[in-house]
Amino acid sequence: MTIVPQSFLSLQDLTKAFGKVIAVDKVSLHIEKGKFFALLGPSGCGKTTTLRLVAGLEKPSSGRIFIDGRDVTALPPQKRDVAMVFQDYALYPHMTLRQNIGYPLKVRGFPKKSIATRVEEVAEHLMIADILDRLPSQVSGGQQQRAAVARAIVHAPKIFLFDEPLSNLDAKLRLEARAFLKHLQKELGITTVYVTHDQAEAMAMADEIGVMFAGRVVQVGSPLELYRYPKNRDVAAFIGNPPMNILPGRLEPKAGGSQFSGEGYTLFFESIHVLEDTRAYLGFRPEQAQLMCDLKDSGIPAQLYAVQPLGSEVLITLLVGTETVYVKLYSESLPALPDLVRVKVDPSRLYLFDSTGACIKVPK
Amino acid sequence: MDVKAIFYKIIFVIFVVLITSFFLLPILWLVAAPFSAQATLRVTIPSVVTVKNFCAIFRNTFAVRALFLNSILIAGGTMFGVTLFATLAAYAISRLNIRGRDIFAYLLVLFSSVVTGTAAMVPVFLLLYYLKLIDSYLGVIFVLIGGLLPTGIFLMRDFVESLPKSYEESALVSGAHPWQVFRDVAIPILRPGMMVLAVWAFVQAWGDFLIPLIVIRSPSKMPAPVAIYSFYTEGGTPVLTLISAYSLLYAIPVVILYLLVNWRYGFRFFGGIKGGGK
Ligand SMILES: Nc1ncnc2c1ncn2[C@@H]1O[C@H](COP(=O)(O)OP(=O)(O)OP(=O)(O)O)[C@@H](O)[C@H]1O
Ligand SMILES: [Mg+2]
Repeated sequence: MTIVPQSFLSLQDLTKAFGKVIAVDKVSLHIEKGKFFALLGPSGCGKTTTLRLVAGLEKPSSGRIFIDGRDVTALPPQKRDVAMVFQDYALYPHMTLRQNIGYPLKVRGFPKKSIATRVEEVAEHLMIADILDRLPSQVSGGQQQRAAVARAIVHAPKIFLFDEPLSNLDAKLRLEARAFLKHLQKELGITTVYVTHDQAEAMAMADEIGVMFAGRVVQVGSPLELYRYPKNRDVAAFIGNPPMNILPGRLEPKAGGSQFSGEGYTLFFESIHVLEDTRAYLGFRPEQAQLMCDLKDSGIPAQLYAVQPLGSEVLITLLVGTETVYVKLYSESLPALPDLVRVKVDPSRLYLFDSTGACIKVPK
Repeated sequence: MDVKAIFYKIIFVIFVVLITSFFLLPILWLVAAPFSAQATLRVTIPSVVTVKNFCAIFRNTFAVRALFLNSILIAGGTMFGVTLFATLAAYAISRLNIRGRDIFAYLLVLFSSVVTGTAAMVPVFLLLYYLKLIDSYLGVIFVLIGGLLPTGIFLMRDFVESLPKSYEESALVSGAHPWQVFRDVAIPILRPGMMVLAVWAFVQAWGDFLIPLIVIRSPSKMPAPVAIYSFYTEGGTPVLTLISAYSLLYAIPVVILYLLVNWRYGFRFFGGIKGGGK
């Protein structure tokens, strides 16, 4: 007997293998109704495959999918009542935008008149009403994207699926589209799964993020949770702009705690206890570090590599041994820095990861 | 320009003229001879332009019927069948993940020459005989379709494969049934490819001599390539005036069809159908 889950969209132990490649590995996700869920991960980690499993475009090797309390694992795509926006938008090239947007209604057998009204209504909403009679090749990328979204919302689906819908837009349009999509999603209240490899996009748009690596969902949480309490080194090194600095070193037991020794510095951690000398990694966020010019100061010795002013802040690249470290300073003026500096981080802001990469200390 | 360059230029032009005239001569003959009262195998501009040859042909009801009914029926039927079945088959082969489908496609092409090849004529004849299709248009059309289909599938497969799957997948997720996807999305985008295929099949069937010669018995059903033999004298010498006029008429439908499709879709044999059918 299977237990029907409470969440609106549930994936249970979903696995998909392509021959020997396991693209999706026992993924379980539970997404509440009306939530904006982002699936985040590097290229090739199985995000698209997961989305296609939900859409019904791929058959799972094992596991089940529930939508609104109904097991849809065996249903073909056309019966799942979901909508998907593809990365290349997949607007039918031989149909005008009007025909494109009306297509989901047409195949559902709606009368012509109500299709026309509904298409006008949606197009009005997405501000593409004046270009409805053009072919997809005759409108801009941003307009194509809106048309693809219009086609997805026209029949009020149960679930929205997005596969990197912004990656074909230029930087400025992308920012606009982010706000537009987030606003639209909140307004319509449609449960959304949004696939992206851009952590900034996921952080900015999602209510909840699932981070995927090599076919597995490693951590699920709100953007802030992922930022503050990454479960492991991979998540920490993926989230943040720039992501967390991670430095290798060794952790050894000392009276009353343990000591981390890195390239030319040691740090003492009171609350951490290890049994023996092991490999470990120190982590800290670029925006939580400070630079000390006085070499007598304690801190991590580092060599200045580059200084990039970004307007309201300055991004500084440093080398600690052979590792690259970023520090973000909130200042408009360029600081005058010597070649050798020390990086100082409030001990409570430090992260520690053990030899397997699991997080063993987070900020208080 | 120095002398050497001019010299090379002259050589080049002469070369081009020679090559061009070699290929142009038969066409010139085809255009000139039908309007001459005494055509020979030479290209001569007729001193008196006459349409008498055409009048003679139009009086020959057997030949007219062969060209304007039988040939059109046979080539049209073959064109329709090849286009329909090749599109369906190519779509299936390309979209279903069958193991070894590439080898299957190549084998098909390899064996296609067998069906219409001379070696297969006896079995083909026997088969048609038992199917009671001897002396019928359908018999000719079936054999021609059988012969053209593999190459047609191969040609069409290329078009299908260059059609991004996301169009069809998007339609599926939108709620369309697979046959709606095929009708509303795949077919319209594949139309230029289908047109190329159709013209190709038409031309192949239009020019085929051997199959109708073997399958068709009654003169009233013979297509033009067979009927052209009625313009031989009883002694077996060709009447060049009539043959040339008939050939000209025989060439016109193909040229028109080609121009029509070229004007509407442009001929592109491989891929490149991204812009769709407009
Ligand atoms: N149809 C397929 N046949 C074989 N392997 C596949 C197929 N589709 C995906 N894969 C493999 O599965 C893995 C996950 O692919 P997927 O497309 O889901 O990654 P992704 O996270 O979407 O990556 P990207 O960010 O590059 O789009 C990859 O290793 C890929 O090569
Ligand atoms: Mg992908």
